Amino acid sequence: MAGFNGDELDLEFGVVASVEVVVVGGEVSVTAGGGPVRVTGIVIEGDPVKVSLDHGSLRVSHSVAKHLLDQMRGSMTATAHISVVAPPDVTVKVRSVSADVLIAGFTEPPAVATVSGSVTVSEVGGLTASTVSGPVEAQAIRGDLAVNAVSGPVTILGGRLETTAVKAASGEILLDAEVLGDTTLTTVSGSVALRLPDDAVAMFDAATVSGRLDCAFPLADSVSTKRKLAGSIGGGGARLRVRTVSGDVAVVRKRMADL
Amino acid sequence: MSRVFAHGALRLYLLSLLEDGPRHGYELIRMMEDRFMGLYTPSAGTVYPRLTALEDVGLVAHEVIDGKKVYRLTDAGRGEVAERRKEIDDVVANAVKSAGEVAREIRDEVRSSVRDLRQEIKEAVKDVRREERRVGRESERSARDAARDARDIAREASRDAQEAARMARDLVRGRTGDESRLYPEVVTDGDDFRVLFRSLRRDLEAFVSDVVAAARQHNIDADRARQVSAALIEARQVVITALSADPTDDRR
Repeated sequence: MAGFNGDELDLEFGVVASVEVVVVGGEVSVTAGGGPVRVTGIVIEGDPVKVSLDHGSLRVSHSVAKHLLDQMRGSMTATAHISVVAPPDVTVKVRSVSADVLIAGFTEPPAVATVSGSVTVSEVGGLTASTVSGPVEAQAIRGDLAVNAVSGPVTILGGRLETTAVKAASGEILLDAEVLGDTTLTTVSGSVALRLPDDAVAMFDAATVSGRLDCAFPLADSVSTKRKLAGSIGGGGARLRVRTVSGDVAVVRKRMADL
Repeated sequence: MSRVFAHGALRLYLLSLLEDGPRHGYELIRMMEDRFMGLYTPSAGTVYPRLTALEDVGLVAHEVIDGKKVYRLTDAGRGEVAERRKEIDDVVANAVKSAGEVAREIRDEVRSSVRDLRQEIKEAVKDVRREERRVGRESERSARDAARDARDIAREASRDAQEAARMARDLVRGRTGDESRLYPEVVTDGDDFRVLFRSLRRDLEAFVSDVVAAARQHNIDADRARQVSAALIEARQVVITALSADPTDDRR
Protein backbone atom coordinates (compact mmCIF):
# COMPACT_ATOMS: atom_id res chain seq x y z
CA MET A 1 0.00 0.00 0.00
CA ALA A 2 1.24 3.41 -1.00
CA GLY A 3 0.00 6.50 0.72
CA PHE A 4 0.46 10.19 0.25
CA ASN A 5 -0.83 13.35 1.89
CA GLY A 6 -0.31 16.76 0.48
CA ASP A 7 -1.60 20.25 -0.19
CA GLU A 8 -0.48 20.17 -3.76
CA LEU A 9 -0.15 16.81 -5.40
CA ASP A 10 0.91 15.35 -8.68
CA LEU A 11 1.16 11.58 -8.46
CA GLU A 12 1.36 8.68 -10.86
CA PHE A 13 0.27 5.12 -10.24
CA GLY A 14 0.71 1.97 -12.25
CA VAL A 15 -1.98 -0.65 -12.23
CA VAL A 16 -5.27 0.57 -10.86
CA ALA A 17 -8.61 -1.23 -11.06
CA SER A 18 -10.81 1.29 -9.32
CA VAL A 19 -10.73 4.96 -8.41
CA GLU A 20 -12.65 6.41 -5.50
CA VAL A 21 -12.71 10.11 -4.74
CA VAL A 22 -14.34 11.45 -1.59
CA VAL A 23 -14.37 15.20 -1.11
CA VAL A 24 -16.27 18.01 0.56
CA GLY A 25 -16.08 21.15 -1.55
CA GLY A 26 -14.31 22.28 -4.68
CA GLU A 27 -14.05 20.42 -7.95
CA VAL A 28 -13.38 16.83 -8.90
CA SER A 29 -12.74 15.51 -12.36
CA VAL A 30 -12.09 11.93 -13.29
CA THR A 31 -11.36 11.51 -16.96
CA ALA A 32 -10.18 8.61 -19.07
CA GLY A 33 -6.81 8.70 -20.74
CA GLY A 34 -3.94 6.47 -21.75
CA GLY A 35 -0.81 5.92 -19.74
CA PRO A 36 -0.46 5.66 -15.99
CA VAL A 37 -3.06 6.88 -13.53
CA ARG A 38 -2.33 10.45 -12.65
CA VAL A 39 -3.70 12.35 -9.70
CA THR A 40 -3.24 16.09 -9.53
CA GLY A 41 -4.76 18.37 -6.95
CA ILE A 42 -4.60 21.57 -5.01
CA VAL A 43 -6.03 22.09 -1.55
CA ILE A 44 -7.69 25.46 -1.32
CA GLU A 45 -8.94 25.12 2.21
CA GLY A 46 -8.58 22.49 4.91
CA ASP A 47 -6.40 19.49 5.64
CA PRO A 48 -4.12 17.82 3.10
CA VAL A 49 -5.65 15.42 0.58
CA LYS A 50 -5.10 11.76 1.37
CA VAL A 51 -4.25 9.41 -1.45
CA SER A 52 -3.86 5.67 -1.01
CA LEU A 53 -3.53 2.67 -3.28
CA ASP A 54 -4.54 -0.66 -1.86
CA HIS A 55 -4.71 -3.78 -4.02
CA GLY A 56 -5.49 -1.78 -7.12
CA SER A 57 -8.02 0.45 -5.39
CA LEU A 58 -6.99 4.07 -5.58
CA ARG A 59 -8.63 6.28 -3.02
CA VAL A 60 -8.38 10.05 -2.93
CA SER A 61 -10.05 11.73 0.00
CA HIS A 62 -10.30 15.18 1.39
CA SER A 63 -12.33 15.56 4.51
CA VAL A 64 -13.12 17.94 7.31
CA ALA A 65 -10.99 17.28 10.37
CA LYS A 66 -12.74 14.73 12.51
CA HIS A 67 -11.53 15.94 15.87
CA LEU A 68 -13.07 18.94 17.50
CA LEU A 69 -9.62 20.21 18.42
CA ASP A 70 -8.57 20.17 14.76
CA GLN A 71 -11.78 21.81 13.73
CA MET A 72 -11.13 24.57 16.25
CA ARG A 73 -7.76 25.11 14.65
CA GLY A 74 -9.61 26.28 11.58
CA SER A 75 -10.19 23.23 9.38
CA MET A 76 -13.95 23.44 9.43
CA THR A 77 -14.23 23.22 5.70
CA ALA A 78 -12.39 21.36 3.01
CA THR A 79 -12.09 22.68 -0.50
CA ALA A 80 -9.87 21.12 -3.12
CA HIS A 81 -9.57 20.81 -6.86
CA ILE A 82 -8.74 17.24 -7.74
CA SER A 83 -8.19 15.71 -11.15
CA VAL A 84 -7.68 12.05 -11.84
CA VAL A 85 -6.80 10.65 -15.23
CA ALA A 86 -7.17 6.89 -15.43
CA PRO A 87 -7.50 4.17 -18.06
CA PRO A 88 -11.02 3.95 -19.52
CA ASP A 89 -11.72 0.50 -18.03
CA VAL A 90 -11.39 1.36 -14.33
CA THR A 91 -14.47 1.66 -12.16
CA VAL A 92 -15.02 5.15 -10.81
CA LYS A 93 -16.78 6.22 -7.64
CA VAL A 94 -17.09 9.82 -6.49
CA ARG A 95 -18.76 11.24 -3.40
CA SER A 96 -18.93 14.94 -2.67
CA VAL A 97 -20.74 17.31 -0.38
CA SER A 98 -20.69 20.49 -2.41
CA ALA A 99 -17.91 19.83 -4.89
CA ASP A 100 -18.78 19.83 -8.59
CA VAL A 101 -18.05 16.47 -10.18
CA LEU A 102 -17.11 15.65 -13.73
CA ILE A 103 -16.61 12.12 -15.01
CA ALA A 104 -15.86 11.38 -18.65
CA GLY A 105 -14.81 8.57 -20.88
CA PHE A 106 -15.16 5.35 -18.87
CA THR A 107 -16.52 2.09 -20.18
CA GLU A 108 -17.61 0.88 -16.72
CA PRO A 109 -20.60 2.69 -15.23
CA PRO A 110 -19.42 5.22 -12.64
CA ALA A 111 -21.23 5.91 -9.37
CA VAL A 112 -21.61 9.49 -8.14
CA ALA A 113 -23.24 10.88 -5.04
CA THR A 114 -23.41 14.51 -4.05
CA VAL A 115 -25.40 16.78 -1.79
CA SER A 116 -25.26 20.14 -3.53
CA GLY A 117 -22.52 19.77 -6.11
CA SER A 118 -23.25 19.51 -9.79
CA VAL A 119 -22.72 16.18 -11.52
CA THR A 120 -21.60 16.25 -15.13
CA VAL A 121 -21.00 13.00 -16.93
CA SER A 122 -20.03 12.41 -20.52
CA GLU A 123 -19.34 9.34 -22.65
CA VAL A 124 -19.64 6.60 -20.07
CA GLY A 125 -20.97 3.04 -20.12
CA GLY A 126 -23.90 3.68 -17.77
CA LEU A 127 -24.34 5.74 -14.63
CA THR A 128 -25.57 5.57 -11.06
CA ALA A 129 -26.01 9.01 -9.53
CA SER A 130 -27.69 10.52 -6.53
CA THR A 131 -28.05 14.15 -5.61
CA VAL A 132 -29.95 16.31 -3.17
CA SER A 133 -29.91 19.75 -4.74
CA GLY A 134 -27.16 19.60 -7.31
CA PRO A 135 -28.07 19.17 -10.98
CA VAL A 136 -27.22 15.98 -12.84
CA GLU A 137 -26.27 16.46 -16.46
CA ALA A 138 -25.34 13.39 -18.42
CA GLN A 139 -24.34 13.26 -22.03
CA ALA A 140 -23.82 10.24 -24.25
CA ILE A 141 -24.52 7.50 -21.73
CA ARG A 142 -24.41 3.99 -23.14
CA GLY A 143 -25.84 1.45 -20.76
CA ASP A 144 -28.00 1.42 -17.66
CA LEU A 145 -28.93 4.67 -16.01
CA ALA A 146 -30.13 5.11 -12.44
CA VAL A 147 -30.53 8.60 -10.98
CA ASN A 148 -32.04 9.69 -7.68
CA ALA A 149 -32.56 13.39 -7.06
CA VAL A 150 -34.42 15.47 -4.54
CA SER A 151 -34.56 19.00 -5.88
CA GLY A 152 -31.76 18.78 -8.38
CA PRO A 153 -32.81 18.80 -12.04
CA VAL A 154 -31.79 15.78 -14.12
CA THR A 155 -30.90 16.16 -17.78
CA ILE A 156 -30.00 13.20 -19.95
CA LEU A 157 -28.75 14.17 -23.35
CA GLY A 158 -27.98 11.77 -26.17
CA GLY A 159 -26.71 8.27 -25.73
CA ARG A 160 -28.34 4.86 -25.81
CA LEU A 161 -29.98 3.80 -22.59
CA GLU A 162 -30.54 0.15 -21.78
CA THR A 163 -32.67 0.39 -18.66
CA THR A 164 -33.44 3.76 -17.15
CA ALA A 165 -34.75 4.66 -13.72
CA VAL A 166 -34.84 8.33 -12.77
CA LYS A 167 -36.52 9.46 -9.58
CA ALA A 168 -36.85 13.05 -8.42
CA ALA A 169 -38.97 14.91 -5.92
CA SER A 170 -39.15 18.52 -7.03
CA GLY A 171 -36.40 18.27 -9.58
CA GLU A 172 -37.44 18.24 -13.20
CA ILE A 173 -36.40 15.49 -15.57
CA LEU A 174 -35.40 16.13 -19.16
CA LEU A 175 -34.50 13.18 -21.30
CA ASP A 176 -33.43 13.20 -24.92
CA ALA A 177 -31.89 9.86 -25.75
CA GLU A 178 -32.53 6.54 -27.38
CA VAL A 179 -34.37 4.45 -24.84
CA LEU A 180 -33.87 0.81 -25.68
CA GLY A 181 -35.03 -0.92 -22.51
CA ASP A 182 -37.56 -0.35 -19.77
CA THR A 183 -37.67 3.24 -18.64
CA THR A 184 -39.26 4.62 -15.50
CA LEU A 185 -39.30 8.30 -14.70
CA THR A 186 -40.86 9.37 -11.43
CA THR A 187 -41.29 12.78 -9.80
CA VAL A 188 -43.46 14.37 -7.18
CA SER A 189 -43.75 17.95 -8.31
CA GLY A 190 -41.01 18.10 -10.89
CA SER A 191 -42.00 18.19 -14.54
CA VAL A 192 -40.93 15.47 -16.95
CA ALA A 193 -40.09 16.24 -20.56
CA LEU A 194 -39.03 13.57 -22.99
CA ARG A 195 -37.81 14.13 -26.49
CA LEU A 196 -37.85 11.03 -28.64
CA PRO A 197 -36.79 10.59 -32.25
CA ASP A 198 -39.54 10.57 -34.89
CA ASP A 199 -39.08 6.82 -35.37
CA ALA A 200 -39.16 5.99 -31.65
CA VAL A 201 -40.95 2.86 -30.46
CA ALA A 202 -42.27 2.46 -26.93
CA MET A 203 -45.18 1.30 -24.84
CA PHE A 204 -45.88 4.68 -23.33
CA ASP A 205 -47.72 4.93 -20.04
CA ALA A 206 -47.93 8.19 -18.11
CA ALA A 207 -49.98 8.88 -15.01
CA THR A 208 -50.33 11.94 -12.80
CA VAL A 209 -52.58 13.13 -10.02
CA SER A 210 -52.80 16.79 -10.97
CA GLY A 211 -50.17 17.43 -13.63
CA ARG A 212 -50.74 17.94 -17.34
CA LEU A 213 -50.17 15.11 -19.76
CA ASP A 214 -49.15 15.87 -23.33
CA CYS A 215 -47.76 13.63 -26.01
CA ALA A 216 -46.80 14.80 -29.50
CA PHE A 217 -46.74 11.25 -30.84
CA PRO A 218 -49.87 9.53 -32.05
CA LEU A 219 -50.74 6.81 -29.55
CA ALA A 220 -52.22 3.55 -30.75
CA ASP A 221 -54.66 1.67 -28.49
CA SER A 222 -54.59 4.75 -26.35
CA VAL A 223 -56.08 5.47 -22.99
CA SER A 224 -56.49 9.18 -22.41
CA THR A 225 -58.03 10.59 -19.30
CA LYS A 226 -57.17 13.55 -17.13
CA ARG A 227 -54.89 11.39 -15.04
CA LYS A 228 -53.60 8.84 -17.47
CA LEU A 229 -52.19 8.86 -20.96
CA ALA A 230 -51.04 5.60 -22.43
CA GLY A 231 -50.64 3.86 -25.75
CA SER A 232 -48.03 2.49 -28.08
CA ILE A 233 -45.68 4.77 -29.96
CA GLY A 234 -44.47 3.58 -33.35
CA GLY A 235 -45.94 0.11 -32.91
CA GLY A 236 -44.69 -0.34 -29.36
CA GLY A 237 -41.37 -1.30 -27.84
CA ALA A 238 -39.94 -1.31 -24.35
CA ARG A 239 -41.98 0.08 -21.50
CA LEU A 240 -41.79 3.82 -20.96
CA ARG A 241 -43.45 4.69 -17.67
CA VAL A 242 -43.82 8.19 -16.29
CA ARG A 243 -45.34 8.88 -12.90
CA THR A 244 -45.84 12.25 -11.22
CA VAL A 245 -47.99 13.68 -8.50
CA SER A 246 -48.29 17.27 -9.63
CA GLY A 247 -45.54 17.48 -12.21
CA ASP A 248 -46.42 18.05 -15.86
CA VAL A 249 -45.47 15.39 -18.39
CA ALA A 250 -44.71 16.13 -22.02
CA VAL A 251 -43.35 13.96 -24.81
CA VAL A 252 -42.11 15.87 -27.80
CA ARG A 253 -40.70 14.71 -31.10
CA LYS A 254 -37.15 15.10 -32.22
CA ARG A 255 -37.40 16.11 -35.84
CA MET A 256 -34.65 15.29 -38.28
CA ALA A 257 -33.85 19.01 -38.37
CA ASP A 258 -32.96 18.89 -34.68
CA LEU A 259 -30.34 16.22 -35.16
CA MET B 1 -10.53 13.44 -27.46
CA SER B 2 -9.73 14.77 -30.87
CA ARG B 3 -10.50 18.30 -29.71
CA VAL B 4 -6.88 18.50 -28.51
CA PHE B 5 -5.82 19.56 -31.98
CA ALA B 6 -7.44 22.10 -34.21
CA HIS B 7 -7.47 21.35 -37.91
CA GLY B 8 -3.93 21.23 -39.29
CA ALA B 9 -2.36 21.62 -35.87
CA LEU B 10 -1.27 18.00 -35.48
CA ARG B 11 0.85 18.33 -38.59
CA LEU B 12 2.70 21.30 -37.11
CA TYR B 13 3.05 19.57 -33.77
CA LEU B 14 4.65 16.51 -35.38
CA LEU B 15 7.16 18.75 -37.12
CA SER B 16 8.06 20.39 -33.81
CA LEU B 17 8.62 16.99 -32.18
CA LEU B 18 11.11 16.06 -34.92
CA GLU B 19 13.05 19.24 -34.33
CA ASP B 20 15.21 17.67 -31.62
CA GLY B 21 16.21 14.73 -33.75
CA PRO B 22 14.96 11.71 -35.70
CA ARG B 23 12.18 9.62 -34.11
CA HIS B 24 10.25 6.58 -35.12
CA GLY B 25 6.46 6.67 -35.27
CA TYR B 26 5.85 4.91 -31.99
CA GLU B 27 8.22 7.25 -30.19
CA LEU B 28 6.28 10.21 -31.53
CA ILE B 29 3.04 8.73 -30.19
CA ARG B 30 4.62 8.17 -26.77
CA MET B 31 5.99 11.70 -26.71
CA MET B 32 2.60 13.14 -27.41
CA GLU B 33 1.00 10.93 -24.80
CA ASP B 34 3.51 12.12 -22.20
CA ARG B 35 3.03 15.68 -23.25
CA PHE B 36 -0.71 15.45 -22.67
CA MET B 37 -0.46 13.53 -19.39
CA GLY B 38 -2.29 10.61 -20.86
CA LEU B 39 -5.28 12.74 -21.74
CA TYR B 40 -4.63 12.37 -25.40
CA THR B 41 -3.19 9.29 -27.04
CA PRO B 42 -2.98 9.74 -30.77
CA SER B 43 -3.57 6.50 -32.61
CA ALA B 44 -1.16 5.07 -35.14
CA GLY B 45 -3.93 5.57 -37.68
CA THR B 46 -3.83 9.28 -36.96
CA VAL B 47 -0.09 9.77 -36.85
CA TYR B 48 1.26 7.63 -39.69
CA PRO B 49 -0.88 9.09 -42.47
CA ARG B 50 0.16 12.58 -41.30
CA LEU B 51 3.82 11.57 -41.47
CA THR B 52 3.32 10.11 -44.95
CA ALA B 53 1.64 13.32 -46.04
CA LEU B 54 4.51 15.38 -44.64
CA GLU B 55 6.91 13.13 -46.50
CA ASP B 56 4.96 13.58 -49.72
CA VAL B 57 5.42 17.34 -49.56
CA GLY B 58 9.10 16.91 -48.73
CA LEU B 59 9.06 18.24 -45.16
CA VAL B 60 10.16 14.95 -43.58
CA ALA B 61 12.08 11.91 -44.80
CA HIS B 62 12.48 8.45 -43.33
CA GLU B 63 15.01 5.70 -43.29
CA VAL B 64 14.49 2.17 -42.06
CA ILE B 65 16.61 1.25 -39.05
CA ASP B 66 16.19 -2.20 -37.45
CA GLY B 67 12.98 -2.66 -39.43
CA LYS B 68 11.45 0.57 -38.11
CA LYS B 69 10.85 3.73 -40.05
CA VAL B 70 12.72 6.58 -38.42
CA TYR B 71 11.56 10.05 -39.45
CA ARG B 72 13.61 13.21 -39.57
CA LEU B 73 13.06 16.76 -40.71
CA THR B 74 14.36 17.69 -44.18
CA ASP B 75 15.86 21.12 -44.83
CA ALA B 76 12.49 22.18 -46.16
CA GLY B 77 10.92 20.85 -42.95
CA ARG B 78 13.35 22.80 -40.83
CA GLY B 79 12.50 25.88 -42.87
CA GLU B 80 8.81 25.28 -42.34
CA VAL B 81 9.30 24.94 -38.58
CA ALA B 82 11.35 28.16 -38.47
CA GLU B 83 8.80 30.01 -40.57
CA ARG B 84 5.83 28.86 -38.53
CA ARG B 85 7.50 29.01 -35.12
CA LYS B 86 4.83 31.30 -33.68
CA GLU B 87 1.99 29.04 -34.85
CA ILE B 88 3.73 25.95 -33.49
CA ASP B 89 4.25 27.58 -30.10
CA ASP B 90 0.54 28.39 -29.99
CA VAL B 91 -0.36 24.82 -30.87
CA VAL B 92 1.86 23.48 -28.12
CA ALA B 93 0.55 25.99 -25.60
CA ASN B 94 -3.04 25.21 -26.50
CA ALA B 95 -2.57 21.47 -26.60
CA VAL B 96 -0.79 21.09 -23.30
CA LYS B 97 -3.61 21.53 -20.88
CA SER B 98 -3.90 20.38 -17.37
CA ALA B 99 -6.33 17.60 -16.62
CA GLY B 100 -8.40 20.19 -14.76
CA GLU B 101 -8.59 22.42 -17.79
CA VAL B 102 -9.65 19.56 -20.02
CA ALA B 103 -12.24 18.55 -17.46
CA ARG B 104 -13.58 22.08 -17.32
CA GLU B 105 -13.76 22.14 -21.08
CA ILE B 106 -15.78 18.93 -21.12
CA ARG B 107 -18.02 20.27 -18.38
CA ASP B 108 -18.62 23.51 -20.27
CA GLU B 109 -19.39 21.56 -23.39
CA VAL B 110 -21.91 19.30 -21.64
CA ARG B 111 -23.47 22.26 -19.84
CA SER B 112 -23.91 24.27 -22.97
CA SER B 113 -25.44 21.25 -24.74
CA VAL B 114 -27.75 20.76 -21.77
CA ARG B 115 -28.75 24.43 -21.85
CA ASP B 116 -29.51 24.20 -25.56
CA LEU B 117 -31.49 21.01 -25.00
CA ARG B 118 -33.52 22.53 -22.17
CA GLN B 119 -34.35 25.50 -24.37
CA GLU B 120 -35.26 23.33 -27.33
CA ILE B 121 -37.40 20.97 -25.30
CA LYS B 122 -39.15 23.81 -23.52
CA GLU B 123 -40.03 25.36 -26.86
CA ALA B 124 -41.22 22.00 -28.19
CA VAL B 125 -43.33 21.39 -25.08
CA LYS B 126 -44.85 24.86 -25.45
CA ASP B 127 -45.63 24.06 -29.09
CA VAL B 128 -47.31 20.78 -28.18
CA ARG B 129 -49.40 22.46 -25.49
CA ARG B 130 -50.27 25.38 -27.74
CA GLU B 131 -51.35 22.96 -30.46
CA GLU B 132 -53.48 21.01 -28.01
CA ARG B 133 -55.02 24.17 -26.64
CA ARG B 134 -55.76 25.38 -30.16
CA VAL B 135 -57.47 22.10 -31.06
CA GLY B 136 -59.30 22.22 -27.74
CA ARG B 137 -60.31 25.82 -28.26
CA GLU B 138 -61.51 25.11 -31.77
CA SER B 139 -63.74 22.27 -30.73
CA GLU B 140 -64.90 24.33 -27.80
CA ARG B 141 -65.57 27.23 -30.10
CA SER B 142 -67.52 25.18 -32.62
CA ALA B 143 -69.64 23.74 -29.81
CA ARG B 144 -70.19 27.23 -28.47
CA ASP B 145 -71.08 28.53 -31.93
CA ALA B 146 -73.60 25.73 -32.42
CA ALA B 147 -75.13 26.44 -29.04
CA ARG B 148 -75.31 30.14 -29.84
CA ASP B 149 -76.88 29.43 -33.23
CA ALA B 150 -79.51 27.23 -31.62
CA ARG B 151 -80.19 29.81 -28.95
CA ASP B 152 -80.49 32.59 -31.54
CA ILE B 153 -82.88 30.51 -33.57
CA ALA B 154 -84.97 29.65 -30.55
CA ARG B 155 -85.03 33.31 -29.50
CA GLU B 156 -86.04 34.35 -32.97
CA ALA B 157 -88.79 31.79 -33.03
CA SER B 158 -89.97 32.82 -29.62
CA ARG B 159 -89.80 36.48 -30.66
CA ASP B 160 -91.91 35.67 -33.69
CA ALA B 161 -94.36 33.83 -31.51
CA GLN B 162 -94.49 36.68 -29.02
CA GLU B 163 -94.90 39.15 -31.80
CA ALA B 164 -97.77 37.12 -33.16
CA ALA B 165 -99.21 36.92 -29.70
CA ARG B 166 -98.79 40.64 -29.15
CA MET B 167 -100.46 41.43 -32.42
CA ALA B 168 -103.25 39.10 -31.59
CA ARG B 169 -103.54 40.57 -28.10
CA ASP B 170 -103.60 44.12 -29.41
CA LEU B 171 -106.16 43.11 -31.85
CA VAL B 172 -108.21 41.42 -29.17
CA ARG B 173 -107.70 44.26 -26.67
CA GLY B 174 -108.49 46.83 -29.26
CA ARG B 175 -111.65 45.06 -30.11
CA THR B 176 -112.57 44.26 -26.54
CA GLY B 177 -111.40 47.59 -25.11
CA ASP B 178 -112.87 50.16 -27.32
CA GLU B 179 -114.66 48.36 -30.04
CA SER B 180 -116.97 51.30 -30.59
CA ARG B 181 -114.10 53.59 -31.56
CA LEU B 182 -112.11 51.13 -33.64
CA TYR B 183 -114.89 49.16 -35.12
CA PRO B 184 -118.05 51.25 -34.73
CA GLU B 185 -119.88 49.05 -37.11
CA VAL B 186 -119.58 45.89 -34.98
CA VAL B 187 -120.48 47.35 -31.60
CA THR B 188 -123.98 46.04 -31.77
CA ASP B 189 -122.76 42.45 -31.46
CA GLY B 190 -120.48 43.43 -28.57
CA ASP B 191 -121.19 40.50 -26.28
CA ASP B 192 -120.59 37.97 -29.03
CA PHE B 193 -117.32 39.71 -29.89
CA ARG B 194 -116.22 39.78 -26.30
CA VAL B 195 -116.81 36.06 -25.98
CA LEU B 196 -115.20 35.38 -29.32
CA PHE B 197 -112.09 37.45 -28.66
CA ARG B 198 -111.68 36.22 -25.13
CA SER B 199 -111.58 32.69 -26.41
CA LEU B 200 -109.34 33.76 -29.28
CA ARG B 201 -107.00 35.42 -26.82
CA ARG B 202 -106.85 32.28 -24.68
CA ASP B 203 -106.11 30.23 -27.76
CA LEU B 204 -103.42 32.62 -28.84
CA GLU B 205 -101.80 32.75 -25.42
CA ALA B 206 -101.83 28.97 -25.23
CA PHE B 207 -100.42 28.86 -28.72
CA VAL B 208 -97.67 31.32 -27.82
CA SER B 209 -96.71 29.61 -24.62
CA ASP B 210 -96.69 26.19 -26.31
CA VAL B 211 -94.49 27.43 -29.12
CA VAL B 212 -92.11 29.22 -26.77
CA ALA B 213 -91.93 26.20 -24.47
CA ALA B 214 -91.34 23.87 -27.38
CA ALA B 215 -88.67 26.13 -28.78
CA ARG B 216 -86.98 26.23 -25.39
CA GLN B 217 -87.24 22.55 -24.62
CA HIS B 218 -86.24 20.95 -27.87
CA ASN B 219 -82.87 21.08 -29.45
CA ILE B 220 -84.04 22.64 -32.60
CA ASP B 221 -81.59 22.99 -35.43
CA ALA B 222 -81.35 25.93 -37.78
CA ASP B 223 -83.56 24.36 -40.47
CA ARG B 224 -86.29 23.44 -38.01
CA ALA B 225 -86.20 26.90 -36.49
CA ARG B 226 -86.54 28.48 -39.92
CA GLN B 227 -89.51 26.22 -40.65
CA VAL B 228 -91.12 27.16 -37.36
CA SER B 229 -90.47 30.81 -37.99
CA ALA B 230 -91.94 30.59 -41.49
CA ALA B 231 -94.94 28.69 -40.17
CA LEU B 232 -95.55 31.36 -37.54
CA ILE B 233 -95.32 34.16 -40.04
CA GLU B 234 -97.63 32.25 -42.32
CA ALA B 235 -100.03 31.55 -39.48
CA ARG B 236 -99.99 35.22 -38.50
CA GLN B 237 -100.70 36.18 -42.05
CA VAL B 238 -103.51 33.67 -42.25
CA VAL B 239 -105.05 34.94 -39.02
CA ILE B 240 -104.70 38.56 -40.00
CA THR B 241 -106.09 37.86 -43.41
CA ALA B 242 -108.95 35.97 -41.85
CA LEU B 243 -109.63 38.81 -39.45
CA SER B 244 -109.29 41.38 -42.19
CA ALA B 245 -111.84 39.51 -44.18
CA ASP B 246 -114.27 40.77 -41.63
CA PRO B 247 -117.82 41.45 -42.72
CA THR B 248 -116.96 45.12 -42.08
CA ASP B 249 -114.83 44.95 -45.25
CA ASP B 250 -117.90 44.14 -47.19
CA ARG B 251 -119.52 47.20 -45.75
CA ARG B 252 -116.74 49.57 -46.76
